[in-house]
Amino acid sequence: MDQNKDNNMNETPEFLSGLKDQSSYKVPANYFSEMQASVLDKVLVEQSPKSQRSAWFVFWESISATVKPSYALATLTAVVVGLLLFPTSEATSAIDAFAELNDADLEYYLIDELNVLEGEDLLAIVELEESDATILPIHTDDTEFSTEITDEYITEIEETDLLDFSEE
Amino acid sequence: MIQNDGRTEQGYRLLMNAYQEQLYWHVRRIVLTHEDADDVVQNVWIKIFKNIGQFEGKSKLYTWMYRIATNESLSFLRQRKRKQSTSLDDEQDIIRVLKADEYFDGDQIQLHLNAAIATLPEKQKLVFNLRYFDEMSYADMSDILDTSVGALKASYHHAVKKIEKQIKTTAQ
Repeated sequence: MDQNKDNNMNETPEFLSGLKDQSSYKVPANYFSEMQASVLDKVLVEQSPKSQRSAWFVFWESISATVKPSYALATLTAVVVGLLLFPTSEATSAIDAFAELNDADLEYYLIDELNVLEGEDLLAIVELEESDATILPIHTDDTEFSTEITDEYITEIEETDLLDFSEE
Repeated sequence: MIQNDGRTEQGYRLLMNAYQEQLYWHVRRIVLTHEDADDVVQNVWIKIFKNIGQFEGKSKLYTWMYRIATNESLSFLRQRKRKQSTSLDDEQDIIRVLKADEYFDGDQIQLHLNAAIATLPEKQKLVFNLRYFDEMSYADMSDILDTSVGALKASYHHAVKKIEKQIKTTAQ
């Protein structure tokens, strides 16, 4: 890089020239060697054949860590259906490429693209969220509660019907 | 060497030895604190090693790496701004953050210089840092920032004027 210096000093005023060499930012002792070891550990483990996981697993892990589980499930379902309908090698390689992205990439993408989403896209997201809200997990207590409520309804209906019937 | 299976690790080490400090300081000047710079720079290296096989050699390797580091740093700042609904746009906030960073020990003038740089518009800040601290040529900066040399020179000039004005105001 040094050979590319092109008259930097001429364009930098004197008050700045005097400040340049005083480094005010520090790093912990041995930071660079430890950081290098940490990065290489991560990269080499990821690239070793033993640790290669299925692209589908990585894909699922990536999206489920980035978006709501319902969106992740919807995305995965859409991709599976898409691949079943259009089983091309391009589609499979797209999955592999997607799996290469890390969580931060996906999050940045979603945040950045949020501003350019079409109205229809936003509507689809809202509809998806609304439809998810209706699918509640069924617990035993809920079922018992529902049975009680239903029984009360039946009783009320029967009494009302009987009253109506008696009025007629 | 990196693409030779038997020597990949050696290649990675050589690349990191050559550039890790430069890239770290570049990231640090953008995100300011060591803790944030550490997170970002580790992601930068992971991204570099994942994508180095696709490096086409159309630009210099180091400008390609700087570009990744710049993008990661800016993405980090944008993400933090959205998550925390606060940003370091105000000089006093920046001074507070720098003072709280145990790995910053500049004096008052350094504090105000770094705060003045941090409050520059994004592009001017990048241009100023690359030119002033890294002494990078405008041609290489043009590769990294996708901006013409003329526009970069103008940005640097404006950045210097703003910093000078801000420091003089603070000193009075």
